[in-house]
Amino acid sequence: MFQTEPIIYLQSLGNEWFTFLMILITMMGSSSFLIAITIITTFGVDFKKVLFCTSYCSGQAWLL
Amino acid sequence: MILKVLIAFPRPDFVDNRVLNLESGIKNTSLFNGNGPEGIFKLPDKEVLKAFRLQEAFTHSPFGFPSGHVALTTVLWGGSAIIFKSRVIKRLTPLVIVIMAFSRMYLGRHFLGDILGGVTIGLIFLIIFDNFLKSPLKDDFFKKENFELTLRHRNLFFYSVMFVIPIVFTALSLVSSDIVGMFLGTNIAYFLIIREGIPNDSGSVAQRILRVFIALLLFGASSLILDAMFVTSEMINYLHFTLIEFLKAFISGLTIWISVAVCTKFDLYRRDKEFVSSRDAE
Repeated sequence: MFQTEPIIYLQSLGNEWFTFLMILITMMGSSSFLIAITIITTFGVDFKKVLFCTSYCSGQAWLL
Repeated sequence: MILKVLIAFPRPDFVDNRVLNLESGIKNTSLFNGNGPEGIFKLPDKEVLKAFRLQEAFTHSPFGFPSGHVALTTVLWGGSAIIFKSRVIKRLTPLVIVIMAFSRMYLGRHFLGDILGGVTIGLIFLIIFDNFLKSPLKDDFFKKENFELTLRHRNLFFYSVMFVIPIVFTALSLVSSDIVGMFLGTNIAYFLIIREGIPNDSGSVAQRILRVFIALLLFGASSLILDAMFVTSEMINYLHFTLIEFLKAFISGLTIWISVAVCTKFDLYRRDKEFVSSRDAE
């Protein structure tokens, strides 16, 4: 669970392009990506549903 | 940051100097070069933990367990699948979680244990959310009177949940400070919008594109200004860095409210009577 061998093995298989791809994927968990998606869906698709989903993520609905 | 700070597990590149931090490309200067514990279910070595916890100045995001990226991906994609009732999102969700988990391990940012911790926390919140959706309370969330400044029990409940819970999540370190800052900023923005009445989504494609453009423009401009105002590159104090990142995201999140006001001003939105207070309708 907390061993570094699997990580070193994965990194030994990678190359520059793969690393770039992984960085792009990990950016999907960044605040910049999330806010861009939130804005596009809020103003372009469905305000109420995105409001609800965002609120849920921020904890408004989690304890209800 | 209670949970991460209390557990205080290091990231893989601290445990073993052969692990590369491929996300930021920083050279690994760790004193340790072991493989970590020998048993699969063993925790990191005591010597490593002791050295990690004795550090006085923490760098940005030093703690590993649990993975915030994986927890947030589980919550967001799972929540979106539930709320949009989309089969496509539902099928994609496990795949996105696995890819995110893989990327975090490959980039040297998390152990497998951190990943599993993140998924577990994400699933717990997903189950709670699913149960909430089945409760009658969810309809109250969109009623204007529940967001007015009065001492009604329900209003106090909404206020405490809106503003206290994100702060608790920050303290528990379930997500990073900038993400919580964004959520708290958008919470206040939505609170202000709900008090005016939720905008109607109707409109042509051109109007929708223009609305998105205005919102992105205001958000981008505010981010640029805030980045210029708060330079964090030379900061080594972890708490200062966390606070600045939180503030930057928080203020940017508030631009959603400004964007709605601008779009309404230019007739790109109209208020939906369905969500306006029943008292106003009377």
